[in-house]
Amino acid sequence: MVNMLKLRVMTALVLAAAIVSAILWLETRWLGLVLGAVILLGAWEWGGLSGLHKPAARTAYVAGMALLAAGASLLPGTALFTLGCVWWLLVSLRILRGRPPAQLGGGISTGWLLAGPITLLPAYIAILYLHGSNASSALFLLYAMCIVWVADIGAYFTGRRWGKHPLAPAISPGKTWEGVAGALVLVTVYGLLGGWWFGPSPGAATLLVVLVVAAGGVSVVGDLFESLLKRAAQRKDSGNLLPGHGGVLDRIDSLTAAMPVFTLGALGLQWIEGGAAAA
Amino acid sequence: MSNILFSAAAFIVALGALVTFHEFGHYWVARRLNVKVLRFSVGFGRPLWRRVAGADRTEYVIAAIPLGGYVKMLDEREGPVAPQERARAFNTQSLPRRTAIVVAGPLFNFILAIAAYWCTFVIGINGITPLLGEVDPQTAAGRAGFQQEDRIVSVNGEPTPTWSRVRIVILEQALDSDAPLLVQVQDAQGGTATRTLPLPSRSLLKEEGDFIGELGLVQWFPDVPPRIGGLLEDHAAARAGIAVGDLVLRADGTPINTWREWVTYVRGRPLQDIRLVVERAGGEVELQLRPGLKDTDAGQIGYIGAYEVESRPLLARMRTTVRYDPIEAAAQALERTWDMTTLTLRVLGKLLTGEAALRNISGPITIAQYAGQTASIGIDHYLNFLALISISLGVLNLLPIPVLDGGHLLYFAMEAVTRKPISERVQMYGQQIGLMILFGLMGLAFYNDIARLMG
Repeated sequence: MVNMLKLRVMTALVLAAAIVSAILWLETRWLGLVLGAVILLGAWEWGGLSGLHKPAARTAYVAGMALLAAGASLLPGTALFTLGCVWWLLVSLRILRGRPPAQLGGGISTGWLLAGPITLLPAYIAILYLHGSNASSALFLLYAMCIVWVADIGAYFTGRRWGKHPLAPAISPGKTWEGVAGALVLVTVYGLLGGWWFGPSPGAATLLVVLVVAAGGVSVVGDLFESLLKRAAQRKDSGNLLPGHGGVLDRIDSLTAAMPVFTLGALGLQWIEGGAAAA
Repeated sequence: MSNILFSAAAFIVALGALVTFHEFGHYWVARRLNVKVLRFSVGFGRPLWRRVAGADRTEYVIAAIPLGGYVKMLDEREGPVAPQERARAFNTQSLPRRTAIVVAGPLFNFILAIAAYWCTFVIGINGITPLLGEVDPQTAAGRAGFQQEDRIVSVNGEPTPTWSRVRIVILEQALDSDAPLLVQVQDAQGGTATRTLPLPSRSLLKEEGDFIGELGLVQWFPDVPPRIGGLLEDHAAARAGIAVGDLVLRADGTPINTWREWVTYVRGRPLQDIRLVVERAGGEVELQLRPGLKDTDAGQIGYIGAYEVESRPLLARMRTTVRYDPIEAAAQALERTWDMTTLTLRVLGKLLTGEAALRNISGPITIAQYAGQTASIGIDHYLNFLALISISLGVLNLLPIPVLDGGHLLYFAMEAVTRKPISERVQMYGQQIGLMILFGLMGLAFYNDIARLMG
């Protein structure tokens, strides 16, 4: 058990170091390749969870995802992120209704297969978009990605201390409304720090706080949506690619929801600040 | 899997044809008006095939993403234009000429729809006779006195030779008013009668699914014994040892009397074991059956891969072909296109005012499924589908959303009023907002499609 924990911490540290250095030192196109590989691993897991078991079928699914990623990168950012935001809004409503998922029972679910690209790609393109927008944006991207981590920590500690009212018992029994509240509080603090650091004007700083809180809130939905899929497939982890952590999807699920929302908001902020020319 | 590929292929062929024709509309009118066309592209993104031709050195391109296309004309707002060619740039044209070029795209979609409908009317479209099955006395139809084996002849005076016409006419009438429908039927004895069918309320469109069925109008289906007429290889029934000719007697002790009961029983039990007793060669055989699972529009159902054949000759009497001579077909095609256009607009209006549920918006995935289904039924249904999608594309493109043709028309209308072109700044904002509306709608449509498939 101790070994397991050690493994978990080691993996986490190595991964975090790798991702941070990639973001800080790689050019956007190379970062695109690295993160593209991560997304494709996620697609491999998503295909498996949705019922594709034959390696050939899963490979075809991953190849399809790669093609769609190439296509998605040609779309205007506003378009893709809006699509992502509407998608996550509707998914949030679905999850709040708390209906348990239809069981796959070993069958292939076309619905879940099609949900894969809409879940993974807007986030992927959003990350690259933030990274490539200007010289100081690597730091801003890191800041944005850490929102989900801050939300996670906030939820974990408040949930453990005060957790009582389950959020979506049919999907993920461990999550509570108190946890969500804790996440939002901590994320607000984090947003204020961000507003103070990045905000060019008091108005923009306030909007940034709102944006960070929204992204923190929706990150919980990203997590729950992947749980919904695992529930449907009756699996605990999305895969076993990461020692001690389960699969790749388990690591990036919150980001899939938070990044498109944050990036669309950031685009809006840029608009308000710099006029349409900046967009 | 091959099913998905077939649907995708049927969809891409349909969309490719429609987009090409739409863009051709812009292209053709631009050429007529002597506007210089730089590029005619079917698809977006990286060119897969290209050819340069004509005095204008126009580039003809087929590009990688088959979800649209564009015609690029000479335009001072998009690049430098040589002074001698200024008169041939799009932006220097008079307002009526620009309007003509923009309108041409959607117009060609409507023309294509008329042509497709005309073809189906001349070839003859196969349909199913609107013969009623058992009428539940609790439904609106039951209370209105409808009887089993009534054949619906017309609704409010509109002739309805097929079930699909019944659907469309009832939907149209329901959108118009709450007034009861006057349904003319021919009953089993051959007499005619007119029945008054009240519509429940305006909420008809808020319900997902089969609103005709909700009214109590269900299709007639012959009752045949639950005898296995054929099996699909490698499906649950074949694997469980069921043989052709077996007559299903009991499932888990429940007696099964008709094929329909048997289907209902299986569908309700995906991945659950069924203890089955069949009659084979005079004796009884007990079998263990575990239906597979199938995703459908109505959620997940049990599926065993067995079918019956005894109802086929009975069903043949239900098929009907509607055919017109070429001139009558042209009139019918025009009327049908007009009807479907106004129907589309009215449903859109109801969606905006919240009178129809947003869940009714379908996206490309549902449309693709539908493409596959219609293409596998026959060319007549595929043409019908093509016409419908062409009309939707035409209507959608005329919506006053920047980025779409209708957005340009909106700008032109503003220009006509203010007597000066819309500023680039406004156009820029407009474009961003237009993109957001469009892709927001797409997100909604995708969600509806996918949620439907997930069950």
